[in-house]
Amino acid sequence: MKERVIAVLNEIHDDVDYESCEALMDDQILSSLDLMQLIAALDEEFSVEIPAEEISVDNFNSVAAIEALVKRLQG
Amino acid sequence: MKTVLDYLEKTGKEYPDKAAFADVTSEISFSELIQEGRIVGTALAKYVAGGTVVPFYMDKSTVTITGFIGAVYAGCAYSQINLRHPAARIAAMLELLQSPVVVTDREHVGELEKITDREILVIEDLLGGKEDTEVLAARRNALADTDPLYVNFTSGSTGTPKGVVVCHKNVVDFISEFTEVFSIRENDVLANQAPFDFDVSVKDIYSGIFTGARVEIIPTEYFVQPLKLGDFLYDRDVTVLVWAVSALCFLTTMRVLAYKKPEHIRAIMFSGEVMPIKHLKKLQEILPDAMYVNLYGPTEITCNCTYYILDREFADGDAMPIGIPFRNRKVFLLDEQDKEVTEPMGVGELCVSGSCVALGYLRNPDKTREVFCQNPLNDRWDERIYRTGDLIRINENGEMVYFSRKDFQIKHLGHRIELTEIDIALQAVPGVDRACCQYLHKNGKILAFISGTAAREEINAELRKTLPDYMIPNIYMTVERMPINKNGKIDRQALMTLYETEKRK
Repeated sequence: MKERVIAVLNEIHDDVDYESCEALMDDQILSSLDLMQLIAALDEEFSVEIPAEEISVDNFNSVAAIEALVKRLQG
Repeated sequence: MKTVLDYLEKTGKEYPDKAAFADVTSEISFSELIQEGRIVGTALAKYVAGGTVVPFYMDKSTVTITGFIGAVYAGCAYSQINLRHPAARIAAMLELLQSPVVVTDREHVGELEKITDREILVIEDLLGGKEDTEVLAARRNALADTDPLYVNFTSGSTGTPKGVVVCHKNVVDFISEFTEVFSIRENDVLANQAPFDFDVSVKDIYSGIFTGARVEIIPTEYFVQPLKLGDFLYDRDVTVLVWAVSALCFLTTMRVLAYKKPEHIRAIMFSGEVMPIKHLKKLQEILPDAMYVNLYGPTEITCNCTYYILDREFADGDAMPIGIPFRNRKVFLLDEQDKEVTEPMGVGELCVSGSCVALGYLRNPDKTREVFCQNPLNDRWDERIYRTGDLIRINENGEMVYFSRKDFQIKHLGHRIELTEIDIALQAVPGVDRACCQYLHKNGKILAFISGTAAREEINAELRKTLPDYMIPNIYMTVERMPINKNGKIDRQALMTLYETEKRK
């Protein structure tokens, strides 16, 4: 799943080292518009509807965090 | 009732103690806004002559509004500088504005000192002074409604941003009509989404000032925090949204309205790009009784020139009409021979005349004359029009629908961008030989073709010093040599063919 998450992220910006970055939101590597694209793309790729309650800086700071979120929503 | 100050003072008499503007930490009433505006105006008058365009380097807040009004009381215009732009771009804007001073708040003084050596005025200090009635009266008497009110920057094809100069008369003409058509009244609450360097915010700010409606300023960072945004819209009893399309898509993608439904919203207006029908339907599901309005128009004709109140259902992929002109502006289409296009299925460049046409581009007479020009249909007297560069099609029902651009300007993430400006920035990067950007409309990405030896990480690092985020290319393709057509220009068609072939591999 990690590779698929990275593939989705690469579609947004492909010049970021997603494997090592742990502050995608904190360091504003992902802007508001990027985040929006990401949510829509995750929705499409993994068929998960991410509710507003789950959209926090912590849940999107790293690939691992995004992966954990998707797994949790997939149940 | 000629300048925006006349309107502010009229509203101030009617609703002195009513909240005019609010943000997360503060609130200001109409009488306070006038009082504090006059204090800031008196202080500014010591530093700048009437007619100066004063730059404001600060986040949007009630204090920023007080600063704007202060500049106007000093007989000046204002220009909001986006804090998120690279230093080099901000320096270019300040150079163009030529104001001896820049206004900021205490928080941003250090940051600003690194960008400019112009005199920095701190708004908190300006607010600490006293009003001088005589000075203000002199500045007021010298003010005409054809004097500038604000300058907004847009991307320029020569590599530097262009400053659009908008005057009092432009805004008075537009806002009187805008508030009338959509019945904006003192009991309305507008939730301001747009940054103040975008002219979408002009509709929020002056709808409030003209009618007594309250303007709730949403902090920029709420657009990554859907819960906070949802609470804000709900708790503050918002009734009207005049937002960029991309921001409305944020509401639906983030399911903000499903979290807390802001029942008081009666009108949702959008502009900036074509509204995706999928997102529109999601909004309509949650707020079925609200009025939905598609607004169209560039900054150069003061916010918008046409509006379309949605009156029917659209299917995915349908093109939504741009609607009918606001009163007192003439909107028409010209073909390549400057003949008027009126028949269904015809395509032409949308042109506008009337009191809404801005003064032109700051310190740029050549570019101004190119697009602010005499109406070619009128050989009897002077009639100034603005040529938008937008190609519009008349559909089978006789409605105008957005078709495309006639040049290399694009709309990307809600921003107007001249692809040529990115090309110029790319070619300034060491190791880049030639560059040519194209826009992939289907997935909304900027595609840069480059020749040279520079690695793309280096290129992006360099670009970020001069261009804002939304102008950084999403995809790069290196070519050995740029294909040239028979006119000696870069062959864009050949490049796209190359990209398509490469993609299929």
